[in-house]
Amino acid sequence: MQSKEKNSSRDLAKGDIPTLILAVLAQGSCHGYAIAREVERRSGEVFRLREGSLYPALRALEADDAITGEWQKTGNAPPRRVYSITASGHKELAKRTRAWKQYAKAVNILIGGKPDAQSA
Amino acid sequence: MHNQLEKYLSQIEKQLAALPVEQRQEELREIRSHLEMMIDVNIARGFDAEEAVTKAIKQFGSAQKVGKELRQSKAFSWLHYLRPFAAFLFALCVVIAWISISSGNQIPSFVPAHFQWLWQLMLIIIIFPLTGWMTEVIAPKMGFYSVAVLFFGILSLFISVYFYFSFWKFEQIFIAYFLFGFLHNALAGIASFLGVWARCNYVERNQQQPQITAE
Repeated sequence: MQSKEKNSSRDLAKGDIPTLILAVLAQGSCHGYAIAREVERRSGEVFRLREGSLYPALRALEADDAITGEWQKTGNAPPRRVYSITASGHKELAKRTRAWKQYAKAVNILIGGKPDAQSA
Repeated sequence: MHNQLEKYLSQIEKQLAALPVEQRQEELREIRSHLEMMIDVNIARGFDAEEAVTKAIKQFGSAQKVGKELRQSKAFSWLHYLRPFAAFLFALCVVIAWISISSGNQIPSFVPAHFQWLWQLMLIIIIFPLTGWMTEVIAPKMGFYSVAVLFFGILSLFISVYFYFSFWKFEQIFIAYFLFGFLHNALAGIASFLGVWARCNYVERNQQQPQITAE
C-alpha cells in the first residue's frame, strides 16, 4: 500500500510551490513544517514537498509582501516562525489560481480530455 | 545523534555566508526548528534517533542545494533594503512641506491671526499620524519615523539656538519661543508615533487568523 502511494506521489515543480503555500495560508496561519504537511495532506499525499525548497519560496513570497512571518511561542513548545497571508497575497493567489485553471484547461484539451466540467 | 544535525546546519551556514549575520542566524534557527519537528515525528514513528535525523536531513534536501536556493531567493529581496530609504524620503518631503506650510506667511487668510496656534495644532494632528501610517506602509516594522521627526525637531531647535547666539543675540527673542518650538516638535513626533502605532495595530488585527497545526 505504502509503495503504491509512493509511486503515485510526485515532487512538486519549483514554480508551483508559492501557489500551494498561498493556498494553505489562505486557510489559516501556520509555520513551515505545518505548511509542508498540509500540502501533502490536502493533495492526498500525491505531492511531496522537498522541505528545503519551502523556505526559498517563503522568502520570495515575503519579499513580494504576499505573506508575513513572525516568531511566536505557544505553550511549552519552542518558538516557531508563523506565516500569514496578506491582502496582496490573497490577490496573488486569485491571480495564480486563474492562471493555473487556464493552464489545466489547455493541458486537458491537448491530451484529449474535456476542458473542464462546466464547459462539458 | 545531533552531531549529524549540527554538521548539516553548519554546511547550510557556509552556503549563507554572504547574508548578514542576523538573517543567517534567523534562517538557521527556522531550519533547525523544522528539522527538530521532523526528527520528533520520525522517532514517534519508531525510527531510532540516528535514523530519524538521517531521514529528516534526506527529506530536507542537500545542504548545498538548500543554501544555494535560499541565497538566490535573498538576492531578489535587495529591493527591501531600499524601503527605509524610500520611507525616509517620503517623511522628509512631508516634514519640508509641513515647515513651509506652517511658517507664518503660508497660513491661509481665513485663519484669524490669534487662531494660528490652532492651525498649527490641526496640521500636527492630521498630517503626522497620516505620515506615520504611510511610512509604516512603505517600510513596515522600521519604526524609525517618529524618532526621525523628534530628531529633526531637536536638531532644528539646536540650529535655532546656534543662530540666535551667532547672529541675533541682540534681538529680543523670548525663551518661550524656543520652548514653543520644542513642544511643537515633540507633539509632531508623538503624533507621527501614533500613526505608526495605529498602522501596526491595524496590521496585527488583520493577521489574526485561525492557526493550522501539523500532526
